[in-house]
Amino acid sequence: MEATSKSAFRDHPAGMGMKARAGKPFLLGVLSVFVLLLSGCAADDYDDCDDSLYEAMKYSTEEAWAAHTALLGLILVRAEENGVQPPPGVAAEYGFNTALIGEDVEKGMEYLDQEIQWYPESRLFIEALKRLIAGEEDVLAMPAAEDGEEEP
Amino acid sequence: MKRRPRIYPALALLWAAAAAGCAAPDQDYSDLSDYYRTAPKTILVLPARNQSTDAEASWFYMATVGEPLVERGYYVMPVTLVSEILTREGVDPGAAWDIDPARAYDYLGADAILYVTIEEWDTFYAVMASSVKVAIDYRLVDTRTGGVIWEHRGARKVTAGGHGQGLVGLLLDAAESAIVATTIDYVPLAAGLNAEAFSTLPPGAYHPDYPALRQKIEAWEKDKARESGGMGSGLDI
Repeated sequence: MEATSKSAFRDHPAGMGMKARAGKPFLLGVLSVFVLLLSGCAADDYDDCDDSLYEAMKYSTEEAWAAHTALLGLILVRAEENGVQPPPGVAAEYGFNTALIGEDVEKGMEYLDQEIQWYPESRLFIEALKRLIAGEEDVLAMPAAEDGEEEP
Repeated sequence: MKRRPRIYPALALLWAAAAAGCAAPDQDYSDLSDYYRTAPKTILVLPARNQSTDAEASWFYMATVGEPLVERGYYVMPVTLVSEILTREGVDPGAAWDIDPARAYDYLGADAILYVTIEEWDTFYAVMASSVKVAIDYRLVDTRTGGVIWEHRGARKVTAGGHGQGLVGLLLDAAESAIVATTIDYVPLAAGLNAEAFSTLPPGAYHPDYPALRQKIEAWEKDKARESGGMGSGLDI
């Protein structure tokens, strides 16, 4: 199935048949992380996600999605600096966008795995995302039964 | 499908009392005990059903729904990623509500699904002022039983304008009305409504208040079990 057919968020780059280019917008977004880090003005980054996500959904430009992704990256950097766990979903969204918008699948997968480490309850959800990134047909698959667990 | 009894109004009141530290020793935790027995740790937020006149209202809601839920202590699957999965599965956002909740548990590990209906998001323009009227209905459904475990309806009307008499006042009114009608102002409005709604939701497993509340409920359950001569079932969140 072509992932581009009817994205729920119109032109989310991830809905572009997973062929979004790692062009200037994404690099600019990544650069903006370092600018923010240098400026030290990211006190409430997580609160700002509302605005950046809204801008990305509304305007559906690569620049807007890159800026939102960069903000997520900043939250992860800040969390690491402070030795705390980032909020649920941040590493998942950053990893997914990095894999599909930034075309850095390996790095994106690392963040998705990290989300499972931080939040084990996200495992099935993250595994579905990884199958989506890999272009597998069956994104939703029944989880394998644990050892000793009876099949339904 | 078997439905659980609706417990949310009393539940919110109970939680408010517990949070205020004024719970009496004989505090009845029945409703909270029922709520936590469903173990809602992970929440999947489906695309909102928009019944308002503003086509963009869904975006305001979707962009602002995750953060207050996370701050309430829950694992929330990012709304954009959920939408991408639905899209890949060929599920139109309008049809997402037809999905059997049990599938969200089986395939994605979601303990609960949040269904939101935007009943009103209407802007009214006038010479002297303008206003935005918003009403949102929230329902949290247990994916294993299909029962509603929490419900809330939030409504708010924001009005701007009224700088007095004269030409300057009228011009200021017109300018302010235009500002209110600017969509960027809707994001904090939606965020405020969502935060207000979820403040009535019992804290999730990652909320700092959760351990103490859980201890109280477990103690209450043990007392109840002793009184009835049976064994408490315990919480499994």
